[in-house]
Amino acid sequence: MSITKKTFGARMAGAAVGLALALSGFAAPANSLAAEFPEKPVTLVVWAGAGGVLDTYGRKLAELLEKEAGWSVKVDNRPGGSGAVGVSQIMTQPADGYNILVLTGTLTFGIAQGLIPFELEDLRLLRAMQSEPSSLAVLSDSQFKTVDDFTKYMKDKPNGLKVGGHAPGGFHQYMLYQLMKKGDFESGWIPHDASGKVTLGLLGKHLDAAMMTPSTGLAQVKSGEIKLLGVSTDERSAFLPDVPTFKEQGYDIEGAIWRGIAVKAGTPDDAVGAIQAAVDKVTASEDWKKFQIEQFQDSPDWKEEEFTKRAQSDLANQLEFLKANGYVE
Amino acid sequence: MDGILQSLGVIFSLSGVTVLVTGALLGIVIGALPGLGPSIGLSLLIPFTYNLGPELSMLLMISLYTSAEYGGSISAILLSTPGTAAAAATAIDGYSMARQGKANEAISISLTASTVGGVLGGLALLLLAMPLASLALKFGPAGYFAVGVFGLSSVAALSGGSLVKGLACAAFGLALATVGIDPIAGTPRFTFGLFQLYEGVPFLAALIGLFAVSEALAMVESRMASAPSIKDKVGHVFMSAALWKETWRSMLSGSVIGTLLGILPGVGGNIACWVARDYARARDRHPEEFGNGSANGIAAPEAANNATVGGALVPLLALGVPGSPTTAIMVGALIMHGLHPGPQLFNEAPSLVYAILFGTIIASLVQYAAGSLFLPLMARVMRLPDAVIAVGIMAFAVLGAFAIRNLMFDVYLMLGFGVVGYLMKKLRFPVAPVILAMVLGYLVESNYRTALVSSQGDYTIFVTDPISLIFLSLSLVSLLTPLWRRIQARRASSRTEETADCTVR
Amino acid sequence: MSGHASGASVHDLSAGRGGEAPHRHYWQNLVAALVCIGWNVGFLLLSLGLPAGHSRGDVGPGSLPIQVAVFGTVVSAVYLVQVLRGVDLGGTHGRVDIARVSGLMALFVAVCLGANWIGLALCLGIGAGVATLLFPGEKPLVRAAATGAGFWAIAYLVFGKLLALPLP
Repeated sequence: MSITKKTFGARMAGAAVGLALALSGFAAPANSLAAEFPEKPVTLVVWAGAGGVLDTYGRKLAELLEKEAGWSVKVDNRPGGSGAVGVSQIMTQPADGYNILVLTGTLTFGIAQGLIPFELEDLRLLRAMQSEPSSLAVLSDSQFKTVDDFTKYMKDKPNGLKVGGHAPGGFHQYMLYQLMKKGDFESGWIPHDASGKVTLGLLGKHLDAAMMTPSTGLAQVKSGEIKLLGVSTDERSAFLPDVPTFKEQGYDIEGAIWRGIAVKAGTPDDAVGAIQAAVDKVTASEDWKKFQIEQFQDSPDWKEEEFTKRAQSDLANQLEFLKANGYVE
Repeated sequence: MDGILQSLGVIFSLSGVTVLVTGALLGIVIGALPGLGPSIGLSLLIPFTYNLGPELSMLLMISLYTSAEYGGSISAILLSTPGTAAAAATAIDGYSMARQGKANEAISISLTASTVGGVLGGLALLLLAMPLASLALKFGPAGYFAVGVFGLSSVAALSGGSLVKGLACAAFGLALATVGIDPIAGTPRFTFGLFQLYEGVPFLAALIGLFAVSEALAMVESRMASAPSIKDKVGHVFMSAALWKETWRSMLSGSVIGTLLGILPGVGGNIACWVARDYARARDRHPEEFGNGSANGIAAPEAANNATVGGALVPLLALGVPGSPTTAIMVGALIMHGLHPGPQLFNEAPSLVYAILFGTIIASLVQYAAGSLFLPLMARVMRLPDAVIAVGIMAFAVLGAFAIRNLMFDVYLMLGFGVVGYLMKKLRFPVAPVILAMVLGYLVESNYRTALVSSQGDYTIFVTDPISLIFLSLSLVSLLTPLWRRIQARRASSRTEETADCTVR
Repeated sequence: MSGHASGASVHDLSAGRGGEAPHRHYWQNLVAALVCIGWNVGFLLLSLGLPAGHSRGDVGPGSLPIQVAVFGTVVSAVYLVQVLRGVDLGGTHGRVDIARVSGLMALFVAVCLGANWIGLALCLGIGAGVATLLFPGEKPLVRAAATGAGFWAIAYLVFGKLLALPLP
């Protein structure tokens, strides 16, 4: 009731997107190459709340789809249920490509743990547009200088260090598990419910080592307070040229948590083709490249075939990891 | 020095002031609407901040964040509907005061206390950011666990008439807090296959249901045609000297508690408001007034929840780590401008850092001015007939519950909590312990277990960790003091105590 | 608010209603105590069914729920004993107006159910208007229409358009 007077101010903030979309929506079909799709506004269903990393990506994508492809796009946040709410939102809509799910690599963990009550086959994974690796992090005054130092210590003293990171049974623990297998050691896992708390845990010496996304502790990584012993990319990351990969230290580990888009299975190929063409325009734009650098994101740019293949192998490997660690029966 | 002057130049420029005022007005409205809190408000602002410079967008966001913390108390006081989770503690005494016809007084206490809390939190940020940040680092899982236990120890004080009913309510709240995916083992608990419950029972849905809907249901029973006593004119915002004298201690203690708890990620205003209220009650010369419209029962939690704003910015600026979901969104906005928060910002963008530091303090003052603009509107709301107010509570409850996650499931859940809250009210069960236990249950459990995992099952970690030891001792003191007093009183005046406490046989 | 309520009841009782009150509150508290015990025992049974933890040092997902359930059961048992011993623990005095309360509740459940067909904003407007008829007062129809239109406008314009919520 007290809002009525505030409508004007709120309008500027709240409906800025909506307004922009409505305007650009009229101009859209004219300069779009794929004239048949979209005939109406497209909804990007973001499976996380507003304001997070995934939401930031989703909103940038929406902005650039309008700017570069002339679409009219609406962002719809559907957080909850470890992504299950977002997936089921897509599933209740027709498979026509007008509802695009913006999701992350936790999809395969969710399916493997039985939290997301759908299969990979229920979705067409169209494009992975962002990815971030995991890294082994210690404080700079730590006795460990390389991944070898760490694994040797852990081999001598199984569970001798407090190792932790974001989430139980998630991507970072999965990467530690890979390292444990390759380095033949045993380690516990101290889960944290927010990635920022991992950095605080390291700085406050409540953790001896952490598996974390390099950008989580960016300020400390840059200042040298936190040292990254190894990073899980294939080649050295452009953002962290001084940090060696696990691979070059003899541990054949590679993995990244991706963010990308998907549509419901059964979406016709011409709609998918139009989406892919539009995404190509987005990824080719300068705005997008600048955004990726600002966000410290790698651009995997996996197309549907590779994306699906990777997700399938992730799912199989993660299922094995989750079983080995008691997360699933 | 250049940075300071530059930042003051930005703040006091026309656009700076415009942005601060806009943020304050929006913040108050968004805070007052149930279900919409500072974090939703900020995320709605994000697209708008693209075109502002980093300083202006931070000022806008801080202003909205601060004012939303105050705005939550408006609906808590007028409608018994906490607009934000951190205003839950205010609803108890605030609404009770409003029903006694002292709504104006309640609002002015809330506005003043919020401003005092915001300014003191901002000063702490400005002067003590580094030492406070290193204090925050001392808190490990054992420490967080102990803080949670300390918060829980105030349940007895919230129980009102019957201790046994209060404890039963706390058990109910703790049980609700365990719903959802287990924080350590990752197994879903008590979700009955509903993935809407994976993240737990949505706290705001429970809050709105228990506080607001139950009140609307009680109002429909009342046979009187209009609001009984809220005919009070809301005109001025200045607190009388007598009120200042009565509440300044609570404001001060609330601000300190709010700042300190605001620094700790995952603790914040939702918890600080209860701890501050409990502390003020323990110190008050008339603790029995708490729950019946005590001025200190408004001043303490409101000072605390606004002081958490300054506190939450401490880890952001000093360590580059957001201390609350709301500050996490601010990080997102900074990144949009190609800036990454952290101590290096002092060198990279000093004017931005000082804009944030001074902005926090000035935003609180702007909020005071903006808050007073809303008073005539509030007066009009209070003159509405009961029917419209009760229906309004229901309608806003539905919309607010939906806004939490855009899910109708949350709305049904909220209505269910409304029925439970109504029955509790009829049977004289206190609602506050349920809320407190829900807020603290997750903090206590996840950190208890994290501590044990990191010590590999060694329980001595709770005693060897100094922070944990301190807070566990404090909890023991706060649990035993009322008991000890009760025994003393019983000895002194034979059985009068029991009559007052357990009611008549 | 609740604290206020229970506080008030204490004052009322000590003021002079003491004699008759126990009989009044006996049954409602007895039922409440039994419901509490039922809830906590049920919760205990569910907690016992939870799997064990699998990390070193973890007490497991069931640990806290079991403790809470045991605590709750004990507290409820004490509550029951107090009720049986005749301690008045407070309760409602007046008659409960079941028709109006459940009417208001049912109306808003209907609003939520109806949202799927005609949209939440419209449904809420109609529901709010009808709901005011449950209250006594002058010119009920005018009031109902005004309230209905007002809340439709708030839901549609503020929540639907300005805040861009995907209202059903």
